[in-house]
Amino acid sequence: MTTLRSEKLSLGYGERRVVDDLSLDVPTGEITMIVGPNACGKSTFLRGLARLLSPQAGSVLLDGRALHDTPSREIAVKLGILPQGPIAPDGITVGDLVGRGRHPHQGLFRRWNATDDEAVTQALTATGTLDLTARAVDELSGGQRQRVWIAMALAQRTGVLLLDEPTTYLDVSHQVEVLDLLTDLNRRDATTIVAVLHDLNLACRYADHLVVMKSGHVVTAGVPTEILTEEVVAEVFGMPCRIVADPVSATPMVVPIGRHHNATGREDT
Amino acid sequence: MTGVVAAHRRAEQRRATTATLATGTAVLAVFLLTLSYGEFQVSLPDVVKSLTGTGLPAVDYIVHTVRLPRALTALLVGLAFGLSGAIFQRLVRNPLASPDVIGVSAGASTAAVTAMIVFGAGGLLVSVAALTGAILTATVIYLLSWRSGVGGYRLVLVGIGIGAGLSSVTSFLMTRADVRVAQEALFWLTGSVTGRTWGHVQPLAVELLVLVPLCLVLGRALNGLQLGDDLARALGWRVEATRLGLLLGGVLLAGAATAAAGPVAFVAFVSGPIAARLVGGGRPALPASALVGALVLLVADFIGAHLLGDVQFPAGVITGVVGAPYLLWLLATANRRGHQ
Repeated sequence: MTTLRSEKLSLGYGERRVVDDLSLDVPTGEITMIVGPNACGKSTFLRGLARLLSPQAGSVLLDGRALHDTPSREIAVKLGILPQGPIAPDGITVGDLVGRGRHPHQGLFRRWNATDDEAVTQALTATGTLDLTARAVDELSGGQRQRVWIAMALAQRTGVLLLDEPTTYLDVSHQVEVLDLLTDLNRRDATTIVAVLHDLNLACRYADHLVVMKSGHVVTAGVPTEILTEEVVAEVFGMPCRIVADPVSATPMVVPIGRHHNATGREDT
Repeated sequence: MTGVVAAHRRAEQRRATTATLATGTAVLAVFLLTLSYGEFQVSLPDVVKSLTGTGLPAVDYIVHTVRLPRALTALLVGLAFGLSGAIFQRLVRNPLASPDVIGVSAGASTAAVTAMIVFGAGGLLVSVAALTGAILTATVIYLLSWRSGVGGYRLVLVGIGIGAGLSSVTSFLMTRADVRVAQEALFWLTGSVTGRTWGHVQPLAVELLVLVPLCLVLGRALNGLQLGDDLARALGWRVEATRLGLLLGGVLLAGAATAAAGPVAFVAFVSGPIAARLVGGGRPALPASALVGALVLLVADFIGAHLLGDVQFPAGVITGVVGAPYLLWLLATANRRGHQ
């Protein structure tokens, strides 16, 4: 099983430091969801975990070895990432796009073979997109397209899969569909999944491990039911709320309190 | 169980191969036609005999000395422009990003015209100036559009701006020049393969012998780079090194082609998209793009030389007439679709 952790990791763009001294053990074989307000550094942290951004200090260890000392292709066999809002080349078909996820397994001399076909077929089957194989990606709906991108990441057959806001631009039913799919992958192949998610309630529902970030730091991390309190939400998002049990999954459900709707009759300003 | 995927992959592969081979065959056919057709008709069997060294001396003169250098120049320049354009377009992920639209060819032209008019240079020196001009212009465009990575539209806009500036420099130089030199420069600027000799073909052939295989090998990385930098890196492609190599290869190809035939309008610009249509799907289609470039230039030269009555038109006029409407159409639809 592949392990992934960050050690005193600092990331940023030029002078601006976005993630500061962050140490995190990603639980192997579990689903980790990273949440936090806009610009808290959660996407930057994910990019750092995937070596898309070089550390300013500290390191990321994949199976105990620092990412920046590991050849990129070797990493790509163990760790996959789906960035936010990827753009498909014009006219590309689903089969071709998903097949490109096989690159790390091919070499200068090791060309396409039956294993690649099998991996692509499995990825398409797992995401329910096998019957779209010959279709052009441009023609698909948003939900279908997102499943195809996930299929591409799956075809890479890595033990760890990182996803940056995999549910953005999707309506609620497709959001649930994508998150169910990630859960299937985790349950079936014990794939370690780390996703940045915007929706707190869905994150709590699907996460084994919840990481709450603010201004480049981890505020708290752990099992959602144990760590997500009204105080934490108030501190991190600067918003009062009530937390009730999700009637479907019994996980924490955050009910925001604005200035105009207030069950207690108190005026919070 | 893997039937659907394997069958689809084979079908795409087959179509790409068929389209590429068909284009190659068409190139060969037009190439032979160019050698056979003209004021003095040479039959196709005689052309082949002459090419294989068993022809009559009179025919050999027509084929080897008069027609072959011109046809080869058209072939090689077309290959170079087609390949260069496709590399740029795929790399920047924008069909407008071909070297003739973003000012690389304009840079080559300005340098060549400067060499002709200011320094009275001719022949090989003009070619060297053109190649240098292309490299310098590309470097300037690259540096000006660099903001922690080269974004598609920024590169195109900077390139078009630089190109416009360079064109005005070229025009200024033309107004200062002696009439005869200006006429020669103007003819070069139109883009033409008329009157090319083995002296033009040899350096071009050597350059292409190095650049084409290099670009085709590096071009495999376009399969990753087409997905964007993050995904390319995530899939283990070497992003920075291959991109720089491809850009350099593309610039040198465009420079070498411009040096040999002048800035033949729009060959680089139209070849990639045509090849993509023929090959289908979202493949980089570099070999097909190169062959389409060769076909476009050979056909344009043939039309200009033989099919428009008594007047001979340089190939650049013909390609310009075809390419300009396509550019307008692309600009109109790209705006409406709203690009990233």
